[in-house]
Amino acid sequence: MRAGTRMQAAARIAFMALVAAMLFLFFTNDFGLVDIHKTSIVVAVGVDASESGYRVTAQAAVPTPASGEGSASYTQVTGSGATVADAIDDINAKTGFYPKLAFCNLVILGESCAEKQLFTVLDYFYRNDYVPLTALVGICRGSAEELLAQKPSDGGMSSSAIQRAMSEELKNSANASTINLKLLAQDAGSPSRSSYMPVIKYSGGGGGGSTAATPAGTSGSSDGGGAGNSAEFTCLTTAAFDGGRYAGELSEEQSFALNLLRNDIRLAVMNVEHDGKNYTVALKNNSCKTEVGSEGGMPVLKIKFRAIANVQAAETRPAAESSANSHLVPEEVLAAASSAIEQRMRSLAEFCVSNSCDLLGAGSMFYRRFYSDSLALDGRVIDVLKTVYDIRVGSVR
Amino acid sequence: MNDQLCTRQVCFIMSAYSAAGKLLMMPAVLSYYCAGDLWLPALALYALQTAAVWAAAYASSKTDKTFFALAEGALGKVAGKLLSWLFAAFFLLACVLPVLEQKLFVQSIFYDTIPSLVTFLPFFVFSVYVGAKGIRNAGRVADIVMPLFFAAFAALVIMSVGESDMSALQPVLVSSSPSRLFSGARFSLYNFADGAVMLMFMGRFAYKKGDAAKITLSYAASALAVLLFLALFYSIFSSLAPDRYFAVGQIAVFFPALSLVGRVDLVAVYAVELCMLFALALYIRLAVACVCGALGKEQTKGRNVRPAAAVASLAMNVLLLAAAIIFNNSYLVVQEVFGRYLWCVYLAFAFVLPAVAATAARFARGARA
Repeated sequence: MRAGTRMQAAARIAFMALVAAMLFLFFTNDFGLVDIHKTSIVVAVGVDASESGYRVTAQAAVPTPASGEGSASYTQVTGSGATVADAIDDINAKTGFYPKLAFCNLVILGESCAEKQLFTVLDYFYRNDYVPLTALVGICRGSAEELLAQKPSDGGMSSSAIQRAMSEELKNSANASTINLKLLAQDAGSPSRSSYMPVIKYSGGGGGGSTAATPAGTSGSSDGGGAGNSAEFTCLTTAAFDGGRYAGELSEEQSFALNLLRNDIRLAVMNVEHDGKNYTVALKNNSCKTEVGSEGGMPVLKIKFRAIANVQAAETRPAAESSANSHLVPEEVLAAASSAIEQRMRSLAEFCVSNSCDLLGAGSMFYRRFYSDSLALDGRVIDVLKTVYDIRVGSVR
Repeated sequence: MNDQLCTRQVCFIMSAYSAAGKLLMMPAVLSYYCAGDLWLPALALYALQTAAVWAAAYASSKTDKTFFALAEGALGKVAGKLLSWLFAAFFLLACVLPVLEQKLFVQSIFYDTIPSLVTFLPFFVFSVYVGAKGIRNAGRVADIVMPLFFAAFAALVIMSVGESDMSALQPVLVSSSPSRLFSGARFSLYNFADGAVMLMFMGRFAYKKGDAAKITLSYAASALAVLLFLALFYSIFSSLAPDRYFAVGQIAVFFPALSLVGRVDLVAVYAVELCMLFALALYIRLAVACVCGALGKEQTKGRNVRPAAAVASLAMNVLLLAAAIIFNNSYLVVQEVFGRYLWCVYLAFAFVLPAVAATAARFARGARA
């Protein structure tokens, strides 16, 4: 082989190796060299508004050795500042680590935030490229800091327990009005201008369990035990916002109706009273369709709901006593179920009209289908909305 | 005539490469100007660009000459050389915004903290190498990249479609004014250099009957894919769309399974990114080819790169590197300059010149019947 050709081959191999090395550098993330002591993986953030600005509480997961007995450790730190970003920077100043929000799956707003413009409070989370838009959002009574400091019954992080109370399963069973950052902003940015989020409540509880005060705030660790004052979290009611302003709180029944309208419900359970007796009915094959029409330029919303019901438990005619066809639901109970659902939907619609808060999404639908009529109404469709209900619940056969 | 590509490779380049670069910033830019009507200016641009691609393919059917040889025959040697230099400058210009976009994309999507510019610099090493390798090599790469790209694209679409709400695209043609639609088209025009790319393939593949239709249909298919992507993007993000840069990296994040298995969508994003890098490098290859043509030097001999091509590729990349450093924090300014002033350059090179070439080839001496 001539020397020139050998040189050329060697150069080619060297060049390819260089390209491979550079591509490796290009496609790798910091070579995986993340100093765990300088990094905190924030899993939840709580925001409280104060007179001087905001207080942000970050709940950060702390890595534990695999051989350790605890299953999860966490630290909770609070910073304050003129804006949420400023408060997060304060956390950085207090702790020495900059909170990484790439894994932040929960944003909790304290009650005080309801007095502020919602998207001014949440602005930081939409501007920051590293905050996932899939993060769940909720509002709580009292302060978010206090809520995050509660110790759940499983002894783990409160944020995990709260996320379970806002889980996809609960959303699909109409028990929680779960929403994430993306859907929240989309609803508010739609012609309806209205958005909602679950109200997080807790019962029991009384502080951060085995927490110890540190200059940065509090920290805790799981010992796997169900210590005394453990808290239970629920998200059964819903906070409504119109144009980013707090409009009111939906009751459990109104929230149930909202969930039927807005989410893909797989199995919903509701209690129906007939003849003075309680029947717990499971609704399957739910289909809730909303269609907007125009009558003389005025919006008419048709809500069509269909479901198949079966009795899960009844105070009369227990299945054990008359086993034949126990899954069949009496017509009267079906009618009572339909009536209960309609009542809940009417109640929701009344809330929307009285608060000028279009959670039904009628404004958006009207804007998309009847653009010129919508312009004539100047976007306030909800104030003149007529609602027609077509609700039918059938029995399994 | 110097056959460097086969028709299949031309089709692959015109479909995969042309689509890849349009999945980064174009959806956000169009959403900003046109909201739910974002697909309308894209459709208009694609219709014109498809016509330009067809015109260049048609010109190939009429003559075996390259575009520059055709120009030389019609206008003289000096005009031919001048056109070569102008096209080299055009392709270099066409790289500037995509390079800046790639830098931001890599920094934003593949890192969870803000990395420095240094992390992107290896691209230029890759680019010097690929840029010098010539058009024949681009065809071979396209054979591998095209199936990879469309598999990844399909995966991303499947992962995204569940989150979409197509009603967000309504009402059509009422929410954005004609001037906004025009601005959207103008500011997206820097993504449309495909007519000029096709011109460069003139005389570089053996034209057979029906090839113009195949190439045009390949391009139209990729146009359809991009339009679908635009509609999907807006139906997922609606009012948030203008702020969602790097659409291809964000569109699938709402796939429910990702909360259990992690960001597996990034595998598909990596595959698309690979295609984007080669699509970007294609412009450099073409610029190098133009420079070598203007100097009358060979670009490659067999599989070996000749010195002229290596030096040209190096020089091009040094210029792009300088642009990346100078405009490191000024992406929006550069985008504004392209959208306000330089769109005319794209109009001339990628839309008008293919039509001129088709006319010239039709009436050139020795044109095929």
